[in-house]
Amino acid sequence: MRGGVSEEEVFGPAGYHADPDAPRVVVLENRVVNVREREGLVIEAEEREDGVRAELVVREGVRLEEPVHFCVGVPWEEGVQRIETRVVVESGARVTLLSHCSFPRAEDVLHEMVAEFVVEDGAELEVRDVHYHGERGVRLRAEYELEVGEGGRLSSEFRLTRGRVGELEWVSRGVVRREGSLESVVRVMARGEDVVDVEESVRLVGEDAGAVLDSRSAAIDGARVRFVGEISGEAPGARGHVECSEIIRGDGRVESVPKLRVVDPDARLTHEAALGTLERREIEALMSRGLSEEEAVELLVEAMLRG
Amino acid sequence: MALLEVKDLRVSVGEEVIVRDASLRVESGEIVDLVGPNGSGKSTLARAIMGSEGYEVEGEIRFKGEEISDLPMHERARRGLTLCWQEPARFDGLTVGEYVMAGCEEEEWARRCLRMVGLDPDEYWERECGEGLSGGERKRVELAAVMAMRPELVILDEPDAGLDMSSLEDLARLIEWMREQGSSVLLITHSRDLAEEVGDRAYLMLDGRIVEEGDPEEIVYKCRICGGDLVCGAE
Ligand SMILES: Nc1ncnc2c1ncn2[C@@H]1O[C@H](COP(=O)(O)OP(=O)(O)OP(=O)(O)O)[C@@H](O)[C@H]1O
Ligand SMILES: [Mg+2]
Repeated sequence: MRGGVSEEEVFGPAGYHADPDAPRVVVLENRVVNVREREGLVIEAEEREDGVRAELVVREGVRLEEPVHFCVGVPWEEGVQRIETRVVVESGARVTLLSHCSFPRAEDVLHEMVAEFVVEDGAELEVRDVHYHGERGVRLRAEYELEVGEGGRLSSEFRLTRGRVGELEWVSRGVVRREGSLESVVRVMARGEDVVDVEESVRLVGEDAGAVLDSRSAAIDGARVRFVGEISGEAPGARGHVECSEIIRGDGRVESVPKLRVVDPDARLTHEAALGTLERREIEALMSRGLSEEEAVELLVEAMLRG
Repeated sequence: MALLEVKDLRVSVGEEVIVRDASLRVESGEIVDLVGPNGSGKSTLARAIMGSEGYEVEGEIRFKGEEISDLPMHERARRGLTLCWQEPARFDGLTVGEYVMAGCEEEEWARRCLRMVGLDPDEYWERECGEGLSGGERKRVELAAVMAMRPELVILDEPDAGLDMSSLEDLARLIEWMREQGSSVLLITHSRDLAEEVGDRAYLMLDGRIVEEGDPEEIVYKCRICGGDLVCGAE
């Protein structure tokens, strides 16, 4: 069935429909269905056979208060979607990007994302990326190249805590220059057959550059999660921190590997890892209110992944 | 037909028998005390009735006439039975609002339940259960969550522990209010005043057995003779 699926149906939770004028790019499968620019925000989108290429540029010094929605989705049960995207925030500009990737009916969907984020000197980019992969999950391959200029700031947050994951393969490589900072937050809940593999690496190449990689994940009932967070400090005064915490339940499997490479002796890198299980009495307290064990676990895990 | 009827219950963990020959009943509309010394098996009995994991249970547990021993805990809860846990857990990340709404569908009612336990819902709703609450506040939230469910029978496991004398009077009123709202109560307590003030009937538990049934005054007296550590006011 390929007709009659509305944007609302796919991106309902994205919430931008409340403001019909909000700046956005909306991609359904391989069609660009909706583009709204702003003064100082230039969007170019090009349709391809199996996906879309989109470029967003925020012009020098332009500070956009309202967030820009970037929504991609596949409304059907199966399909391939390749998204290539480049976001440039020019010097002194700032923008928040709300990215929603939604595959509510997915049975056999492959979503490939190749993205490049360029944050120029003194610019700021905040990315909040919320995924929903339906109740069966999708295959998602994402590759990110991140570049933060002098005094620039990039903070990103990736959340996939509702529904199923499917297979997630995620690689991100970042470079941060003098006094720039990069912060990446990843929150994933994986269940059953889900497989999650996240590799993030950041090079701190300028003096006093900083990075924080903060991941929390849950592996429930057989799911597998692997997280590698790597920071290399290559300049004096560089500061980096890798934090991973995992919750395991049932026979989930988790491997998390913080890697720190101190290239410059004046760089300071730290890491912290925590592994937890849910307390039986927390689950039972909720069950004694009428939640099934599964519902109780979901509520508790979602709460832990929220922060 | 009794609301809750427990007959010849035996609860064990591995080789160790913790509760034996326990029989008790709670009629609809009743408040029934369960008193006994520390370690006599009151909480174990309560958790076994609720269906906690890890206990081997033999005997009968009937709720509204139905044998519920084989039902999972949430199915017992959905039939109108709940337990106010002696030591509430931390629930890291969960907000007070989410916790009290777990067994409730009407937010207005849940907020009212918070007010009834002396917590301003506007102040507490978004607070985190884990780090945001003291032990006493956690206990109050647990009471509110139980009431929010509008259970037909609630087992209160030492709701008075950690409360001072004046809150104890509030607690007695609160338990009476629960009854007005249609909940019957099985009250486990070390507080003599509370047991005597709100209880219609009482059971005495000693060394894993329920050994006596009677008026609260009489049972409280016997409990003290038997070395029970009932205290005046709250613990
Ligand atoms: N899971 C368990 N495994 C082994 N022994 C247990 C277990 N749970 C309880 N017990 C033991 O059973 C006995 C009864 O404990 P229980 O907590 O039911 O007593 P209680 O009457 O509620 O005491 P209190 O008034 O102090 O709350 C105690 O000796 C306790 O150590
Ligand atoms: Mg006890």
